[in-house]
Amino acid sequence: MSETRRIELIVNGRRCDVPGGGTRLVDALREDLGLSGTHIGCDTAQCGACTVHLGGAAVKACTLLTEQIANAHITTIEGVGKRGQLHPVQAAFKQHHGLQCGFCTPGMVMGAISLLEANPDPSEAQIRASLSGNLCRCTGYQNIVAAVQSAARGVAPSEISATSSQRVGNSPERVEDDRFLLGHGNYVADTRFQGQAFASFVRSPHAHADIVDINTIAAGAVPGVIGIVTGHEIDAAGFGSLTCGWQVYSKDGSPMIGGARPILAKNRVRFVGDAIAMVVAETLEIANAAMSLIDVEYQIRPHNVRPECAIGAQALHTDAPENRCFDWAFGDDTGVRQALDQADHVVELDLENNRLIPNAIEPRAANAYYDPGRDHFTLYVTSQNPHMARRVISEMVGLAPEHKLRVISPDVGGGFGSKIFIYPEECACLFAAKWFGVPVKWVATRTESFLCDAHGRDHRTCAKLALDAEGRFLGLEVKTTANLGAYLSSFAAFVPSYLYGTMLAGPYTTPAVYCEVEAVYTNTAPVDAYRGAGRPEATYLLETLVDAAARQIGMDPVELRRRNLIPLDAFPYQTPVALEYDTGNYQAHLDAALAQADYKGFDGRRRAAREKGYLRGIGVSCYVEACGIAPSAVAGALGADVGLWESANLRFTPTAKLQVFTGSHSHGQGHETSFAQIAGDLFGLSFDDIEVIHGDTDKVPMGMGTYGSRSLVVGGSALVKAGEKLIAKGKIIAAHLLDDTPEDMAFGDGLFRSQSSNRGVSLKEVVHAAYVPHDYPEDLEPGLEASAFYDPLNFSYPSGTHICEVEINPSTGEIRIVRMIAVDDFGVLVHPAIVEGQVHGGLAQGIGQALFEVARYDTASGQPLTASLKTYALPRAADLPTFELETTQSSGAQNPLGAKGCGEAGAIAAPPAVMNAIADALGQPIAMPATPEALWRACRNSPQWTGKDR
Amino acid sequence: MSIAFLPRPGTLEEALRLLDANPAAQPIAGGQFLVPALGREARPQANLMAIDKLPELSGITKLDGRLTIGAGECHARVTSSDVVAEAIPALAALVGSIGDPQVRARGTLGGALCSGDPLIDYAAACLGLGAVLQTSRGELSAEDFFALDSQPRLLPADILKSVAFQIPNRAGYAKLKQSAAGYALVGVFVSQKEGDVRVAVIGGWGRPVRSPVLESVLASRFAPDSIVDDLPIEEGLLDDDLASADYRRALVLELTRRAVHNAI
Repeated sequence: MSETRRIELIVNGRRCDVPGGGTRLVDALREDLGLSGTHIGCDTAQCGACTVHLGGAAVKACTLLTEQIANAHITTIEGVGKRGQLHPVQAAFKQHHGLQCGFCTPGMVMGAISLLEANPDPSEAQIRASLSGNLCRCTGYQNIVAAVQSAARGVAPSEISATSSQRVGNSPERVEDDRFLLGHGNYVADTRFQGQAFASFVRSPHAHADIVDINTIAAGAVPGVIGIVTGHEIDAAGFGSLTCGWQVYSKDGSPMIGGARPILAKNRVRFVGDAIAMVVAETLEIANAAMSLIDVEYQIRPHNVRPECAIGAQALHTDAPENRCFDWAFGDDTGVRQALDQADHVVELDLENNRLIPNAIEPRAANAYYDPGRDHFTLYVTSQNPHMARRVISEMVGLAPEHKLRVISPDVGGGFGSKIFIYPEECACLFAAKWFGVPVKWVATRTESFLCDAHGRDHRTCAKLALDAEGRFLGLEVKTTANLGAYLSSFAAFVPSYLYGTMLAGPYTTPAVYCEVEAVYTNTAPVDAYRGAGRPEATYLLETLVDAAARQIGMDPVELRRRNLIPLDAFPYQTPVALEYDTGNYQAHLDAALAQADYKGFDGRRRAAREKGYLRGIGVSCYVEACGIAPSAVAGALGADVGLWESANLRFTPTAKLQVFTGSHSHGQGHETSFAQIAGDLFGLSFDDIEVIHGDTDKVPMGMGTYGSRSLVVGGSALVKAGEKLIAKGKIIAAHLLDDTPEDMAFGDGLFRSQSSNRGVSLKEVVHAAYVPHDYPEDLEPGLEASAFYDPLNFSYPSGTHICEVEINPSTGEIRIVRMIAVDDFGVLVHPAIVEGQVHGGLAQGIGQALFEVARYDTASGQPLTASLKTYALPRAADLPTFELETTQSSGAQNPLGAKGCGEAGAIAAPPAVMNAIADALGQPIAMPATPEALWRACRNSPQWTGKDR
Repeated sequence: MSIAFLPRPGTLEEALRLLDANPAAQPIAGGQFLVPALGREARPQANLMAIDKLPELSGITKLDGRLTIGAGECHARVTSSDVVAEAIPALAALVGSIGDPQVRARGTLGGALCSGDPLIDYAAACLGLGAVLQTSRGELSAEDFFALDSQPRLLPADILKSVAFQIPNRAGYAKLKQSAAGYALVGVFVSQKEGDVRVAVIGGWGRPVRSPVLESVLASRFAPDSIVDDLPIEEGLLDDDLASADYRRALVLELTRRAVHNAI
């Protein structure tokens, strides 16, 4: 190839020179001009994260080659605001909390600005339609739409109030938003070391095969290739495999078996996408080109992708000859058998919980650097829990001792569970960084995300509910087959067992519950925790079963729920499945949701819809979940070699600025704001004086990360405990300064006060004295810093009622969610707008599961059928309604903040609410996802719609 | 990576000369199909020639009962053109429903037609409006163009210049989108000009086609309720992973009703 032509562009008003040839605009912006605010979220031009302006119009920078647009004017997110000031649209996003992880945000803002320039007064429908080229996975689009509406009304930035109180319980603008809105976020893909090398992975095209030979000679000879790693090198160096850290035992007492995952497959591949070899090269283009020259010879084995056929199919793992990882039983077998025998009604339900792919818009990525001078590794990785990544990489794989490995998880663009786990790719990058002596970066393509990110759900279940003549639940029997995929991922065994079986009492007084789970291996991507993890599966089962029971015995589904909800005076309530619910008021949120939904008036709306030719249905779902994961004693009892505490470290600098170090990790949740609110309340400080630091194992002393709605409940509580320690120390210093006793000191509003003399000394003076201890007594230690670990006494138990109303067009199966109401009890809210955003995003993903999303594999070939955004449907702005949210509050949970956790509620409660509404419309349930064709087919067979009405 | 561009031609004549001299070269307009496809290849190879600014490929004009749109016109310009809105409002609406705003800002009429994708909305409009494709070598009816199975549909070294649509008395378009990709699952374009009724369908059969059955039914009475549920439309509907044949059949019927409704 001849020398690449140079192309001139005018980018953000400045004339630039970028490569031509096959260079895409997005790569020129990111790699050549360092404008990393333009993001890459897919490889099919569908996510819109790379949206920029070309001559004022929004375009996707991944669909343009620089040669096509020589001398054109390009504006990127970095060029929208003037000298760091937010553009009015950016300001509106900030004011309306129209962003969470910030990854889709630049593209979304560019799209919104372009829309408003063309149409200054768009309707909500026009806004939603115009955002159809931009995917967001965090916000459910609701606050984005609100931001665009607000910007359209021309609210000048100066009029936008930034003055909302920063105290706990208020919703100030988020601390992190300026950097995301201005394109200054720092994601792993944006990191670049001196001498950066790039990696790509050769992956199995077969579902199940033996590897006969891997020929890397031709690829290794390509100029620019630094080296190739296969499983042989990793094995020879003595490094271990990845597996699950939770030990689950089968009902016969034997431990779970099989599932160890090598960093790179050496002898056998077990699913399409299994990594075999890694090419490290000077550029990604060279790595990709060389990769296609690696010749792998396979001997095909029979494969199986269906969990119901796993037992007896060809074994994936020699140590699990029947493909059974465990056969777990939990609960009261005898009690349930008796209940079924004595019941007036037994309701049976077979259902499938569809397999999902989490699809955070930021693909996974890793960038590893080895410092030979210190014999020390640094790993940037898209992780929800960097400390756990460090421990697993050190302890399980053995790539580096824990103190010689620094894991940094900078800005992370959404996770939803998929970034909890420790994956082979980051381990391979670490290995290669030392092996070849170059920093090695890998960024997943969206195709790789579909193939190899841990998937979620995938249960097949038969359930029986026993009821007495009055509709009271007597017992529940659940038999589930859970698909683990080809390998045991980090949490995988825990999800379909303890996170599932313990939730099967739900919000009801069912006295006996028995659950059996057979967890099996198949030739599919590993399955692990995805938003809700076990709890959505339990809730979907329970809530659709309750509706099936209501239909069978001819009772209103709300009345049936009322007869079985745990009454207010029963708390704390010991369930028959181990958990003790501390607080809750289930009738309160049910009543509030029914009132909001005008449940009583529904029949009129059904009739009106019918006259227009539509089928309308309403569906209710009540849930309780266990959050604030988890008391360490429980983790220990459940076979995990971890404690599930969280830590916080608070450090005042000599000028009285507060550094808050937390082991929780924010990847959209806004911890830099909510943790600053808590710390600010403790010390009477404003955000200007506080920095929240997370995601770096060399800065944050210890941490367990963010998942299971645990950050505020556990991490926030650790912060409160550390604050109390710090105040106690401050009192000692203040007492010394005031010549008083610490016991006589009170602290509030930034002032230490002697209660007897009413003299005071400011926090600032105390901090100064702590670091300038010129006249300290001998027994007083200088400095003002405190650490605390918080280990929860119990889980926290958020609960709620969600109601969905749908309208189906029987001619086409098109469905419209008319209303989606969520009334939740999350305990004390620190930042209500962040909580709302979490619910919006959860609802969007829950509706996604109900109506759009399913990961499918072809039975005959074992190939994934949904490996791109063209075949796996994510909800877009126009697919979703405006959600209606309310909160109720029962007495606080058992933690210092009284918080219960909110991140998973929508994903848990929405699927059964939507599917119950559909079943109500059709007169019979159908499976998820309820696609238009499935609905159309069901309408043709529906007792509610004979076609005569036409 | 080996993607190279020929020097950008200033005129159609120059472009054709370049194509003659470089038979492997591929014209690229907005690139909305081509660039993502190249990006997915491990070792992309292409010899490209940018034709999006050729003056002969631009312009939107109404003349003698025909609306002529330059092949290089992007969807955003076509959907917001007063000339199009006045002459064939259904066409303006159809073009405004293509993809998303970013795609409409770059994607062109010519690029869509030459992509070979059977689900492009423009195919329904071309067949439903008796369009004539004007290429550098001559003229081609939409029927002939879409009847070809082979790709590309143009001869080597030919460039699509413009498309002339017949202006009907009335026309309407209706489609149901695929929820993942956003393309049409099925789309139906109907038009009526005097006694001539055209019904063009994408996503029903393997390639964009007219339906003589639907046309004759609507020719006798141009009303939504002329399309009854058990109307025996043409056999051979697509039956694949995206939709079954009987669902496609139901969609063709219902979307025809909606298209007629939109036309009236």
